[in-house]
Amino acid sequence: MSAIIEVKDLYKEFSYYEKDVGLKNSVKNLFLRKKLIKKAVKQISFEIEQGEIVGFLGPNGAGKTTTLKMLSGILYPTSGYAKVLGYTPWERKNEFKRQFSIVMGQKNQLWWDLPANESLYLNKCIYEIDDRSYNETLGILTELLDVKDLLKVQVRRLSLGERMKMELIASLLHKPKILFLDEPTIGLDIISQRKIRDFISYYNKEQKTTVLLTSHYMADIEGLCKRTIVINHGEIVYDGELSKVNEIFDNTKIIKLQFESPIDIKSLENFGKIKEVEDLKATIEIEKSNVRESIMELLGRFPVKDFTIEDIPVEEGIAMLYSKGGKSLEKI
Amino acid sequence: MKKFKKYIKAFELGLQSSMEYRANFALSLISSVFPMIMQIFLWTAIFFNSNDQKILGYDYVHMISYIIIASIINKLVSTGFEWDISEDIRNGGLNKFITRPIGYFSYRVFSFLGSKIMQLAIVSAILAIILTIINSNFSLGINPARILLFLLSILLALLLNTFLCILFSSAAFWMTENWAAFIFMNLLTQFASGGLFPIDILGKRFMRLLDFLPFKYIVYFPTNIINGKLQFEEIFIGIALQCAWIAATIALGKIFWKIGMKKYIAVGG
Repeated sequence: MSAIIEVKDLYKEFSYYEKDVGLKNSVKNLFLRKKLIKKAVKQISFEIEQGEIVGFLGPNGAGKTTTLKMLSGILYPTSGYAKVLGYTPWERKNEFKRQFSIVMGQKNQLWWDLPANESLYLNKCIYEIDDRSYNETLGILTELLDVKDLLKVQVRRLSLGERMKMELIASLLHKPKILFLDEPTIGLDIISQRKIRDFISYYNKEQKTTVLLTSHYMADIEGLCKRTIVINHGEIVYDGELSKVNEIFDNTKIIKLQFESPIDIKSLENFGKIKEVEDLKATIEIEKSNVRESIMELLGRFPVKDFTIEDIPVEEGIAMLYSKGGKSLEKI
Repeated sequence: MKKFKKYIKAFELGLQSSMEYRANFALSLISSVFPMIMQIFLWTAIFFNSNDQKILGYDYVHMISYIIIASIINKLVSTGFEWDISEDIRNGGLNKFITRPIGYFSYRVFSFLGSKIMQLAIVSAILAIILTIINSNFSLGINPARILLFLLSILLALLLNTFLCILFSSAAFWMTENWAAFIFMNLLTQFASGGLFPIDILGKRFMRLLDFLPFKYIVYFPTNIINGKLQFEEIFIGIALQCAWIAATIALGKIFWKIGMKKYIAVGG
């Protein structure tokens, strides 16, 4: 299958200005603003195939939303190439717009003062959907998300979770081939998060819609995406299966120790990096090749009551990727 | 036709949401009476403390009837969606229009006109009553031909004001904090359109300056059609100029929006 989204060397920079603290500098800035350049997205490349669900993971300000905005034609890149469904997104052709949708968790497209069904009907007109197909799709979607009774309620009276469901329905009425989701579960409770997640997963399987989503909730990404692209400081630092993130850090193990009586914590430093110390407990990171000897020595030297050997948890692996900064890692 | 349906729906949604908040709607109508009453008191005081029958070319009856009619027309053609537009520009609300097959410009105009309909109907009824009263007491010389031209000029004035509003709101592309600019523009429009008092009392030189601007076609011109100050020939020229100004503001608005949009999509919402 050929790629439905192709991105090559996409690059985007913004200009902004800084002000030093103090009134004097405020006055100075009134007349002269020093322009600075922020590289939001630095030459990223990837391909996504039809029907995939791909998660975009990265700390705040990493460039996830900027990338989504370029792929949906909201932003013009500084340089680089992208083709979505065979179109260049920032040319903003109507035929292209009819085939995708973008939902931003923090923005809404529904009319605040009117019931959701009015806004949905507006979308029917915008996308020129015929009555039969509209009623059918609306029926299925409201059934799936369990919001049939809420269609006639003023949008401002809906809860955040219910509103998000309506946003999703509004964006799926025209059966888009690609769905961009920017933090669709932000601010939702665990149950609503799970419902939205289940829905996206089901919808993707049924309709073969390609989904590209960003989220800060690991559960979203773990539950939905086989493939994850981790982006940090505008660069792709990981592209592959989420569960395999730790293979990058394969050479380290976590050892958790519990002691019977207090020990000299300092002497643990010889074994590896001390991650956490609490009363009679300690967590240290040890190189894989040393695990055997280290354990033997630890057991011999200290009054160890209990111990476990673990892999680095996925969250930890991701956090390490985040803090690693701009250094690119090899694709796995 | 199918292509146009979305704008009809936008019109309908504007109308529907304007009917959601009745108290707000009623208060906005009542509040516009106060400036008019203040003006009436002011001019009454001026006329009664003067020895002249006419002040700045107006007698008492004509001055007061101008102020009443102009205040109502001012309300009739008022806009105020520049705040919505600047919100959309500042907070990225434009994104949902960029990514959907709908034109923002037309969408805004249609939903605004929809939200205006209710007000238009009620204020027009009030205007009709007041005009009947004034006409029967002081005889403004209102006849069917004048009423027709008056209605046409009001419609054109509303459109002109709408497109001016869109033109001014494009300022939000360049200024993040722009309420001061809007308040300035609103005051300027009110003053220069003749919405506060007849602008010809400011003198010939000032009138010549206003000839080169669109503002006087918003309130001053329609008011003078109905109070009988203008000859038919002048009315026809005025209506032609209204149309010309509408075309000019649309064209200029489109250009500003195009430049602004380029900046918006380069910088991001």
